[in-house]
Amino acid sequence: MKIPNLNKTVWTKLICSLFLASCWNAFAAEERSPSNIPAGYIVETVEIPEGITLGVGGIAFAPDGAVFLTSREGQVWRLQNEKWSLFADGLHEVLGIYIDPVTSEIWVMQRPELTKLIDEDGDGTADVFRTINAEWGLTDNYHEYAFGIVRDSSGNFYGTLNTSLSWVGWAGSSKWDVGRVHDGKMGRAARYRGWSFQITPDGRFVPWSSGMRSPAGIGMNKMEEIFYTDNQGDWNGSSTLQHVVKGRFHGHPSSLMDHPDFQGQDLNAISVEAYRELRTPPAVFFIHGDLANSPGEPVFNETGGQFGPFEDQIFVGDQTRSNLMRIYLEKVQGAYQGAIFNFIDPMQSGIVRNQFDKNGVLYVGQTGRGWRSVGDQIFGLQKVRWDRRTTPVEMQSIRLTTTGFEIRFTQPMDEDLLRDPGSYAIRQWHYLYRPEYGSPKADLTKLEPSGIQITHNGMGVRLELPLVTGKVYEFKLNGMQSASGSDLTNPIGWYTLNRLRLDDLR
Amino acid sequence: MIMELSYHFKKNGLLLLASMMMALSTWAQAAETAIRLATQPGKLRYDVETFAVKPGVDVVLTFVNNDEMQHNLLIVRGEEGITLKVAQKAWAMGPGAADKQFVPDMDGVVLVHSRVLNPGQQQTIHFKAPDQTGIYPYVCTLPGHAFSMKGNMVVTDDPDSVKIDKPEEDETLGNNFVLHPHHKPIVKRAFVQDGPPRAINVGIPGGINYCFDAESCTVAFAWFGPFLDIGPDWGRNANERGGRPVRVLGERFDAGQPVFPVRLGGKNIPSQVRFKGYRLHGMNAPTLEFTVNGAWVKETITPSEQGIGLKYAFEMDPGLVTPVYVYVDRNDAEVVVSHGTWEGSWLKIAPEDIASFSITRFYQP
Repeated sequence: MKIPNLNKTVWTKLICSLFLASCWNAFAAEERSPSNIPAGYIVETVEIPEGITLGVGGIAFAPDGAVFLTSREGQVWRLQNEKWSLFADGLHEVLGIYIDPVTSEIWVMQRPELTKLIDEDGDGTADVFRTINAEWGLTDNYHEYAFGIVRDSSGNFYGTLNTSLSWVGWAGSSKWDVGRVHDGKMGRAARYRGWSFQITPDGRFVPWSSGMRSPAGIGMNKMEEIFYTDNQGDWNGSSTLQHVVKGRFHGHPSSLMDHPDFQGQDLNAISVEAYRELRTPPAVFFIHGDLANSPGEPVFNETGGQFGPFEDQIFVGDQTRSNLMRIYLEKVQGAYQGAIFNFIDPMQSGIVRNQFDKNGVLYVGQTGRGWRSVGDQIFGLQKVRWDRRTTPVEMQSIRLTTTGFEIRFTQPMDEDLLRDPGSYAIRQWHYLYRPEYGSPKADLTKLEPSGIQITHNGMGVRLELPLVTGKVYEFKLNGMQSASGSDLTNPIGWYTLNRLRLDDLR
Repeated sequence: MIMELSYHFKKNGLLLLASMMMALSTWAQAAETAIRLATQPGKLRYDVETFAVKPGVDVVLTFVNNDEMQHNLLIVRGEEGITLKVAQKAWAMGPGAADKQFVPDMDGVVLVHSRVLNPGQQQTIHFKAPDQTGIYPYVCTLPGHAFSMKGNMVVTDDPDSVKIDKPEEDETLGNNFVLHPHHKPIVKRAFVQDGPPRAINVGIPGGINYCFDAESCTVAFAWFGPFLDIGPDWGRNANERGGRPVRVLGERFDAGQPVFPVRLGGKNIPSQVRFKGYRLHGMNAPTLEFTVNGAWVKETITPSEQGIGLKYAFEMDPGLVTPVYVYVDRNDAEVVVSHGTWEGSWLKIAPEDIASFSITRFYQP
C-alpha cells in the first residue's frame, strides 16, 4: 500500500481535522450514515444552501480549487470556501463538465450541444455561450440524454448519447416509434442515438463507437483509455462497464442505423445471434438487483494512495440504490475484464457523478429525482475521504489464474478460515443477450473449489475452479475474518470472465 | 367625483380642492365602498379578480403593487376582449407610453385608471361607480401583462351575491417554476411545447418572449405575457423525471420567419447555417450568433416599439462584398426596415449596409 509521505505537522493537523469531522458527522448526519462503510473511510455531507436545486450532472475542479457542479436543472454552480455562486444558468440539462487544468477554460455537455462557457467580463458568471458542436440528432424525447465529458491530451472530447425511449407503450407517442430492432424498447429517433462520439479540438463530430443503450457515465484513465457504464434494459441483461474503442459495437443494435456498414440494411433481418457475434462483451457486469440498478460515472482512483489500498480501481455509484461501488480491472489476452464489489451503501441520494480532487477526496454528486432512489435526499453532494491510516478489511481484488481465481485482501486474513471450503459460497451464471428487457441469472450453478491455496502471507487465496467464458462468478465469503478478527465490510465480489488467461499470474 | 381624480388633481396642483370635494362627497353620501386590490409577487396576476359594487356608489380603491416590476390598473367599458384591445393600444403607444402611464387615448372606454406603480408603491383612487349595472373589466396595460393581469368589476344592486374572487394558489404555477424576466432578459434552453428540440427560449422584461431554434437559426415563434413554467423540465417533485417540454405561459404570435431568413449573394442561393452560440448583455437583450455559408451573423432581437412584434437587428461582417437577402413574411403584419429594397418577400441589403441593419415586424392592435 502506498501512503504519501507527510511530515509530522501535517499528520497532526490531518488527524485533528479528521477527529473533528468524525464528531461532526456523528451527530449532525446520523440518519444519513451508510450501513456499509469500510473502516477508515468517512462520508461528509456538503450542505447545499436552501433555494438551490442541484440534481448533480457533472463535477469538475478548477485550478484555483473551486468546485464546479452542473445540474439536470441546467445550472452551473461554483463552490469555493463554502461560498456558492451561480456561474451559468439557463442551460439544457448539463450532464457533464470539463475544466482545463492549466487554462481554467470550461466546457459543458448540454443535451443539445457541447458548449464552452466564457466569462468575458470577469464578473464571475458566464456571458458567452459558445457552441462547439451540435451535430447529433435530438428530438424532444425525454430519454435522449447526452452524457460526458472527458478529454484526452490531444484536446479531443468524448461523450455518449442515450437511445430514444421509442416503445409506444412507454413513450405515449407514435412519433418516436422508429429505429427499434426486434421490438426492443429503446431505439433511434434521431441520428447517432446510442453512440459515443469524439469532438476534435477544431469542433468536428466523429462517431466513435455504437451499441449503447443508456450510457449514463464515461470515464478515462491515465493511459487515456475510455470506459462507460450502460444501464440494464433491452439488449442489456444487466448493467455493464464497457471499454470504449473506436469502431466497437457494444450490443444495442438500433444505433447501427447510423453505421456506414449498415446503410440500406433491414436491421430486423439480422439475427440476435449475429448481433452477439458483432458485439464486444462488457468488461464487467454490475449485478442487477443484487448490487446495482443504474450505474453512473466510472472514475479512476489515480490519487497516489490518498484514497486507500485501491489505487487505479474504478469507483462508480448507482442512481437507484445510492451505493458506491468499486471495480478492479485486469487485462487478459488484450481485453479488460474484472471484479466488482460494493463499497459504501447507501449514501443519501442516487449517485450519478464522482470526481477525485487533488487531495484524493472523492466528491459524490447525487440526484434521486424521477427514479425513487434509496436515501432521504432528492439531490445532494457528499465527500468520501480515507483517513490515511486505517486499512479497511476488504477483498482488494479478484484476479483470474489459469486454473481458477485468486482473491487478494487488503490485510492478512485468518488462515484457518482461508483454508476452510465452507468459507466460500461460489455461484456462476450468465446474462442472456436478447431484445427483451433485462435477464434472469441464466444457468445458475453452485461451484465448489477443488483446491485452496493461501498466498501472499495470508493476504491472498487461490481457488481452483472450472473456468467458462461468458460467465459471471460470484464469491460470497461467509464469516471470513482478518487475522486480527475483523469481518469483511463487503463480503461479496463478482468477476466477469470473458477470456481465459494463457500464462499464470506473476 | 369620478375617475382619475387622485392622479389628475395631484398633477394639476389641486390636491386641496380635491380633498375638500372628497370630504364633501363623503359627508353627503356617508356610504362609500372600499376595495383593496394588489398585484401578486412573481405571477403577473392581481390578487382580486372579481369584486362588486352598487351602481353610483363612491368607490375608494387602494391599488398596491407587491410585485417586483411596474404595473398599472385600468377599469374599462366594452364588449368581451376589450381588455386586450386597450392593452394592445397601450403597447402601440411607442416611446411616450410611460409618460402617459400606459393609458391609451380611448374616449369612453377607460373609466378610471391608476398611474404606473413601481414595486412597493400604492395608490388610492376615488371614483363613482357607473350608474348602469354590468361588468366592467380591469387590466394592466404594461406590455404583455394583459393576458393574465385582468379582472372584473361587477356593478350590481346586490353586491353581496357576487363572490369576491381571490384566485387560489395555482400549484402548477408555483413561484419555483415560473421564470419572470423582471429586470433583465432570461435565456432558458429547454424543450418547449410544440417547439424545436434545440430551443433557446428568451424572455425580455415587459412580457415579450421568443423561441429561437438553434438548429435552423430562425425564430420559431414568439409570445406575449408571462414567460415560462419550467416545472415540466425540472420535475415538480421527487417522482417526476423532468426533461419534458416547458410551458409557454402567454399567447403565441407568428414571428414571421417560416424559413431561415438570411441568404448571401442571392435570394435563391441555399444557406448552410451553423449555430455558434449566444452572448448575454446584462440588462439588454442577448445576441444570437451563427454563420451563413461561413459568414458570421449576429442577431439581437428586441420587442417592437411600434406594435406587437419583434425587432431583428443584424450585424454582419462589413468586409463581405455580396448583398444579403432577408426573408420577411409581410402578410398580416407591418414591417419597418432600416435599410434595403424589397423584392417580394425578400429584403435586399446592399453590401455597404450589411454591417448593421434592422427589420421590425409588428401587428397594429
